[in-house]
This record gives sequence, C-alpha cells and structure tokens, in this order.
Amino acid sequence: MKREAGFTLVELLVAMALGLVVAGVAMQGLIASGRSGERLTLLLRERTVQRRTLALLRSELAAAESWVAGSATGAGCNLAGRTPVVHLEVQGQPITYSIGTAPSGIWRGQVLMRCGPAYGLAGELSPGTPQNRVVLDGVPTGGMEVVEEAPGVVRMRLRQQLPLRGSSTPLDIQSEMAGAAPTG
Amino acid sequence: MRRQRLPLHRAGRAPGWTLTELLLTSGLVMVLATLATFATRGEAEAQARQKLQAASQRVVGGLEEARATAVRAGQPCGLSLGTAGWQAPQGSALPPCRVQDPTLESGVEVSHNLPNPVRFSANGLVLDGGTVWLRRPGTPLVKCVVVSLPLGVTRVGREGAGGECEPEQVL
Repeated sequence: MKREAGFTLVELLVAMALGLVVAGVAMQGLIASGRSGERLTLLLRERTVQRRTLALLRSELAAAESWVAGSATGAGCNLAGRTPVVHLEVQGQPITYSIGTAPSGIWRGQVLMRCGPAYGLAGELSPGTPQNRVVLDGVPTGGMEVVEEAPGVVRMRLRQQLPLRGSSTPLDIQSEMAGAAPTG
Repeated sequence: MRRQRLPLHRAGRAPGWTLTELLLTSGLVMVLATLATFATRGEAEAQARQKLQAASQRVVGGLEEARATAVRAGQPCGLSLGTAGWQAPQGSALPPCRVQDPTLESGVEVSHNLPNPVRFSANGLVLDGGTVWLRRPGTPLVKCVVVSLPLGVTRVGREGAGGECEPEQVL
C-alpha cells in the first residue's frame, strides 16, 4: 500500500507541542529580563532619593547648633510612638527625624518622618510651626543612623527595604554619606 | 422516483457535510467569536488604563523636571496643575518652571489638592504637596499620585474602597 504524501496527525501534534515549549521558554526569558529591568529602574530611582534625604540631613547638621542621636527631647510634634533617630537644634528651631508607622496607606512599610520648620523659596528654614512630614518610606526600624566618627564629623547611613513584585525577598537599598556637624 | 446524483459527489455518499463536521465548525466559530468579543472589550479597558498610567507618569515626570530646572538655574520656580496638565502659575510672581512635556494624555480627568502654584526652591526642595487623582471614562480604575515634602518624593497608587490612595496591588 502506497503512503500518501503529507504529515500524519502524530507528527503534527509533536511539532506543535515542541513549538509551544520553545515559545514558552522564550517568553519566560523575556518576562525575566523585563523584571530585572524594572528592578534596576526602581533601585536607581530610590538611591537618588536616598542621597537627597542624606543631603538634606547633612545640610541641617552642618547648620545645627547641637544634635543628639536617638533622642526626641524638645521635638515640636507628637511622634505618635515613632522611634526617634536624631534631634537637631537649627537656628533655635527643633528638627526631629523619626521612624515608625506611616500616616497614610500609600507608603510602603515604615516611614522616615521629619518634624521641623518648612523651607522657603531660597532654600532657607522659614520660621513657623513645625510640620511632621513623610520624607521616605520603606525604612525599617534602625534604618537610619547618625554616628559621630570624629569630633565634628558624622557618618549617616540610610537603608530601605522595598517589596518586589514576584519575589518574597524585598529589595535592599543602602546609602551612606559623611558630613560636618557640631561636636555633640 | 429515483433521485439523480450529481457527478461531483462520490458514489455512496450524500452531498453536504456530516453532523460531526458541522458540530466542529460551529463550535470553532463560537469559540473564536467569544474570544474576539472578550479581546475587544478588554482592549478598550486596557487602553484606558494605559492612558491613566501614562498620565500619572507625566505628573511625576513634570515634578521631577521642574525640580531639576530650579536646581540648574539656582532659582525658585513654580508650576500649577490644570485640567490639561502642568502649566505656568497664574496670579503668582514666581517664574514658571520649564517642563518639556507638560500636557497629560487626552481624555484624562484631573482633580487634586495641590496649591497653586506648587513651589520649587532654589536648592531643589518641593515646598508644596498633596494628592492628584486621575480618572478616565472606560475604566473604573482611579489612579492617584501622592507628592510629599520636602524632597518631593512621589508615590503612584490607586483609589481604594475607602477613597484613600493605596499602593497598587502587587501580583
């Protein structure tokens, strides 16, 4: 008996299954590379914000008359149970940084808050009632440290833990910066 | 009376399709039709969501750019958020910040509680904050952008059941 030209059903099914497997593997690769790209963007953006946070604290420390790490004595706002990080007296006005629960649901995890006078257009501290504002989110307890390295020199460390899509381990981002400060 | 067969058809087989063929074809047509309707309906929604996403990025991008121009010029500037997007502040002596792409996506409705103008200090601090809400016909999704002081950190989320701005569901 002569065999007719063309594929048999089995051949076709096998070919289709193989094609599906190859396409699936390619798709997985694409998704993974998209994820890592997203992750890198997040990392870069958050690191920039961390550096700006540290730069703000550095400028305040440099202008401060005195500072105490881990204290909130003399704070201008109710810390509502948040852990104090550092308290400064700048131009006679108190500025307190604290870490704790966020005041609204949009922030991820615990937040770093700054209680102090607002800034003016030229970047100067403007006198007025202290405001308690969220500076940064995703900061765990102990995620910000101000340590005196030498008389007049401080080292500031900041750490963020941000939840990642499709991963159980959060993204850990850390920055540090040195600055001048009055001898505490 | 005998029915005459057309010569096209093989002998012993009635002209037309078999029941199985018919059932298979109609089944396939039904599957394709449902897929098509789902696809088009989902597509319109997806497009509306994408526009909202793009609009939220414009709001965030405008703030970032405005801050950068204030730092570069070493001079404070201001912006206000109108229905069409970022614009020069009205009734303010503050010079407008330059933003490359200030207009939001068409069809996106903006509401917010940001002051007019939002001020950017000479050293790159954002002096005003608030929440921006973005809506678009065709999707129940409401996007929101929270702007905080003094660094101008922004977070994009969606409106929750209680009308609060919440982080978007992580898959």
